[in-house]
Amino acid sequence: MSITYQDLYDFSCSIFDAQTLEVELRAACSSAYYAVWHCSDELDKLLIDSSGQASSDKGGVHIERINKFAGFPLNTNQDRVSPERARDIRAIGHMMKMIKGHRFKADYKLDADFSASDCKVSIEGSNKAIDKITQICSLLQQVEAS
Amino acid sequence: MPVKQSIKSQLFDRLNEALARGRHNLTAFEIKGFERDAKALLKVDTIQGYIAMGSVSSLKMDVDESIRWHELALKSAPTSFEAIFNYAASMAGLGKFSVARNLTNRLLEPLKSEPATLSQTGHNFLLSTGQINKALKYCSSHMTEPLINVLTSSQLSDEEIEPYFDALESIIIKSKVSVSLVDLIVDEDDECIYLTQYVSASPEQAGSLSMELAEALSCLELSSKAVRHFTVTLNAA
Repeated sequence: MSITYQDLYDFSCSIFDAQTLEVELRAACSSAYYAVWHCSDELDKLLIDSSGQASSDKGGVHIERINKFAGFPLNTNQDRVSPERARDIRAIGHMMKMIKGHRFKADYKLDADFSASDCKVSIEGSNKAIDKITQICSLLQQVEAS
Repeated sequence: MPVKQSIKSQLFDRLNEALARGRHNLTAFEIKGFERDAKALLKVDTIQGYIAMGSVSSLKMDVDESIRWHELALKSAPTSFEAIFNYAASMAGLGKFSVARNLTNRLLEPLKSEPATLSQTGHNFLLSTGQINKALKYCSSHMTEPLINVLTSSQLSDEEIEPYFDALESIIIKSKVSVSLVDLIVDEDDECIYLTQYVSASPEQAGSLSMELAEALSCLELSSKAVRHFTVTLNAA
């Protein structure tokens, strides 16, 4: 049996809705980040094809992919990634980095306060990032198919 | 026998406490009370009264009034640490980071020969306006070792961090939210600095503002070092 990024996102929302403990909020925040991370797998694959930039499978793969998105060149000389779409890809990278910051705090900074607000902002941010990723993937796939 | 606090110190203690709580947690009644006390102070101590009125105006999110009062204080006492510091703090709280940064330079000028003399408040204030390296220079005792390591290895300058705050400034001013707290965490493995600004917004609004910030950043030509090592996150206070 397998799961999807959507399952992870739904899971984070359900833990948040039912949460009573800080550890649950932290778990929800972490799942929200991984939902975005897995959602971005498809975008990463599409961009390997379009720009020739592949994320390696070495350590630091998360930050490598995020930086690849956030620093995506605005002019790739390729029709399917227009400057406007390149800006969207950059925005996704910046957004993922912000959510990663919340997730880092949730998973590694156990002595720091972690509130329901921290968690909710992550979930809201994940929701918006997932929307943007699926939108841009769909556009890139349409161009590829045509 | 306890010593009775002066009107001035009582008011500034309460104002500092209110700023720490966040503007959105204050009632109109409380703000009115601050305004009344600031006006009373104005009658007995003009400069302190100007400063207090400037701070109260920032609590009311009235940028123009806050600037007007703080400018009056500065005109009367151009080199006063309190006048400059509170002006800069009000501007940083209102999201006018560029004004706050310029004021900070005036504040730090006399301290050039004696770094590490600013308080924890000064440290947080420098961080909240994106002056991480300045905070390191003037408040080294408040900085963590991982942060110093990341800054040293990345050689990330405050000038490279500034565009993040310029993008943030436009969003904060447009959405009429204020900044109350700042938090800084460092991921040593990925050599990343995450600076969180807490704003007077609901978590839903903060999530939307984060996306706006990401979109604004996507239009800027940021240095690759800054993209790699630094980010500002937003959170609901």
